[in-house]
Amino acid sequence: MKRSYVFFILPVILALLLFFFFPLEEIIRYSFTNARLFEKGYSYTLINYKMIFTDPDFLHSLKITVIFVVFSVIGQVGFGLLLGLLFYRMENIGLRFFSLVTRTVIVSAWVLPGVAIGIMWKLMFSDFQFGIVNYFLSHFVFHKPTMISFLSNARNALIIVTVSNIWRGLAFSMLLQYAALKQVPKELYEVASLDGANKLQKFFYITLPSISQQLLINITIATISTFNVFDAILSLTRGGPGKSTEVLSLMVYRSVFSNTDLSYGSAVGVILLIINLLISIMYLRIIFRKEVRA
Amino acid sequence: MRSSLIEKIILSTICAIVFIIFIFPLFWTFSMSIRNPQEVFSYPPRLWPKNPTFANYKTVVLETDIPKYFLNSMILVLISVILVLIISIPSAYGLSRFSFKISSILIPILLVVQMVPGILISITFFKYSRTLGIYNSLTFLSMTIAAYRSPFITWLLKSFFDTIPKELEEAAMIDGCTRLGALRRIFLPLATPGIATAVIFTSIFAWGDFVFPFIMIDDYNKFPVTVGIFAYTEAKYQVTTHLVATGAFLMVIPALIVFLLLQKYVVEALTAGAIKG
Repeated sequence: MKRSYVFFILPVILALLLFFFFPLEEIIRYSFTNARLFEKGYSYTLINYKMIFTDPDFLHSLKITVIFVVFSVIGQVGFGLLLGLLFYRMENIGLRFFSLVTRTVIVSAWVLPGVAIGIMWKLMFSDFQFGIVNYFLSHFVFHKPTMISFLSNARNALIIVTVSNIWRGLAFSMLLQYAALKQVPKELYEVASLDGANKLQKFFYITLPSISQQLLINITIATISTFNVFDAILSLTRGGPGKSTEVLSLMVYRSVFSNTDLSYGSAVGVILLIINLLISIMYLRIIFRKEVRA
Repeated sequence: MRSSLIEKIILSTICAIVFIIFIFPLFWTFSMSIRNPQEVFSYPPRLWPKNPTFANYKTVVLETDIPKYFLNSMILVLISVILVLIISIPSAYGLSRFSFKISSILIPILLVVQMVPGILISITFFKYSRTLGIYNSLTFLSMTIAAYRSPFITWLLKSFFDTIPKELEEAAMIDGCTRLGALRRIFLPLATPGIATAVIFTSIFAWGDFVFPFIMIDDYNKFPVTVGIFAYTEAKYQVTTHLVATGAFLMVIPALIVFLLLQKYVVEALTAGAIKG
């Protein structure tokens, strides 16, 4: 290949170098220093990494993040699969239009800015008079005036943050699972029926193995995107009450900008980066294995 | 037949519940936005206000900075989209048509860098902002957003370009076109659907982007709509609930319109990353 054609791919290489590798190299470098946000001088040290694994704030944030990610991913992939099955079945029994409308509404949640989602959920789950969810619960579930502190109680806030994240990410999982289900050859089910297989057997021996690839891809992508959620949590709870919904990305923000501790925040960021990198490697292994097979 | 009717009813009921769960936050935000402040805080809350009014929309447009934020966001989307195309079209074309030694490393990198949290990138730029004069610059902000999305868009376009036969351009070149002439006259028209997907995808992300402007802009004259409305929720949440609801609803409208008009492309962009591999 003629050397001159390299100029075609230069733009993206420049974008990668200037807007990804340079900033990340700086973050990694800062994490090995004692740099402060608004001070010029610094010296190299390992103190951040010595401190981080005994820092209760970090361990708490890590724990919160893992809970948030695990339940978000289970919710997104699990409900994504159930909805995929629901819409697949609805198309087959002549409820095509209703299925299409509902799918459209689900996907519309995905295009909304994260900040708007945070605000919308905050309006619904508020402890103020307009908190419609509290009103519904008082009226239809408990039959007496009830005010659940959804967002000012630590455990409830984490639950609401997780549920809102499932809501937001469900579009992706549902579309992926639905597309995967449609690709399973119908003959497989017919043959299984002839052999006397029941619905559960068909699901576990035909459906699940056929879509396992997409499930794995779905799990890895949902995991990565959930680890990086920032805007929706900030606008819903600001990491609170206290630090009860302060996931790692918010802890990076607080360390660097509220505490102006650039180096420590960078170290938290590097750990977040390493987690993401490990999951991304899994993701690449899955999709490239797919290419070899296809 | 009876069991199939029962099945239809059960599935329709489940589907209706799902429909409500997904439409309700939007509905509630809209319903809050057409109330006057007294009705916002009246108990019990009504699903639909007693005296619906568009006064809040008038207030937001005439008396707040939200229109300015909208303008800033539109500028941001426009520049980001143009920059993404400038970066990604040639790069994707190059990766699709020529085999470079670095292609085998570059293509996985394009996918992997999606996992880099925006907050980490913005911290470095914040630290350098004073020396480089990039703080409070909508142009630099657009460059950051464009560069942040460009690896995925490049990859998306590359997989799309792979489906356009090479032979068409080669035939044009034999007929006397230059490579760039063939690119412009033959290739780009065929590539339009892929490019449309890229444009929509970038627009939706640039419109909703929060972390980069949140860190890199503090001049409220330059706030995009996400940061601007977030700032409204900060201090005076109770007093301005009806205005925050109005702003939030206004913020989602452009995204919803683009989505409803161009659904096919959105769905394609959303699933492309995972399915094509």
